[in-house]
Amino acid sequence: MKIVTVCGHGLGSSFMVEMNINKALSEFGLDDIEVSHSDLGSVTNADADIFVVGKDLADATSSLDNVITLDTLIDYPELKTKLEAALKEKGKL
Amino acid sequence: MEKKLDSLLNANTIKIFDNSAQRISWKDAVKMCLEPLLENGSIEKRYIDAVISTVEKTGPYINLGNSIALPHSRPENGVLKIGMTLLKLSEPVDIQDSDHRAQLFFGLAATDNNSHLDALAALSNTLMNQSKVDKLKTAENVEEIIKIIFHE
Repeated sequence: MKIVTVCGHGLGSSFMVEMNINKALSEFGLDDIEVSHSDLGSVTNADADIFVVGKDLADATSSLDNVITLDTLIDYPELKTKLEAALKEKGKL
Repeated sequence: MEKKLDSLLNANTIKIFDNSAQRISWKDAVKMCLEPLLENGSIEKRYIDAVISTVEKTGPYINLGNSIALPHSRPENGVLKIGMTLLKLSEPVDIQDSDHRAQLFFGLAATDNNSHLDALAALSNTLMNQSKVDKLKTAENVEEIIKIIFHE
């Protein structure tokens, strides 16, 4: 399973979210999920099973399936709750 | 080559500005935040223009939430070497609208997709710690900020 975080440049915020996802996955005891970050221009549906974006990119990523939208990019409790729900839906938790 | 956070964020690149007495716009904040990178040769002036024009065209992508902003653009928009800065304001400014407010502006200049990640990871760890973020917002001088980020 793959998770890709997406932001406009693929340099800053997407990487910070990727770090938080790795932290959450280790707390969930999951070590078989690949996480990476990307920019808006180069990401496609084939790249991941779950995408994570900030709310400002919600419209720009409407063509992607399985998108988690974060109100605050660096709010760890918000990320963890939403990620947990998505992973349960995918049968990983 | 990866750079450590403490070689990038230091007394030369951390600034404090009291905007309670003198109101400033988000554009002023972005300029002030990135100015030290212009001075130390990390960026060309057009890098600052790129950040501002991208926000104007596509919205406040620099807003991370929790009153923190990360002004940055792509390497090809005028980055000469890797750099980071912090501008701490005494009160938040609106980035285009009141839904996007920031008080701590961390400037970033990345030369490629990877060499800044080590420093950004260290910064991210600090910003995930709410008590550190709260202390940064009320810090009164640069020495205090360095202590909060690196020695607590």
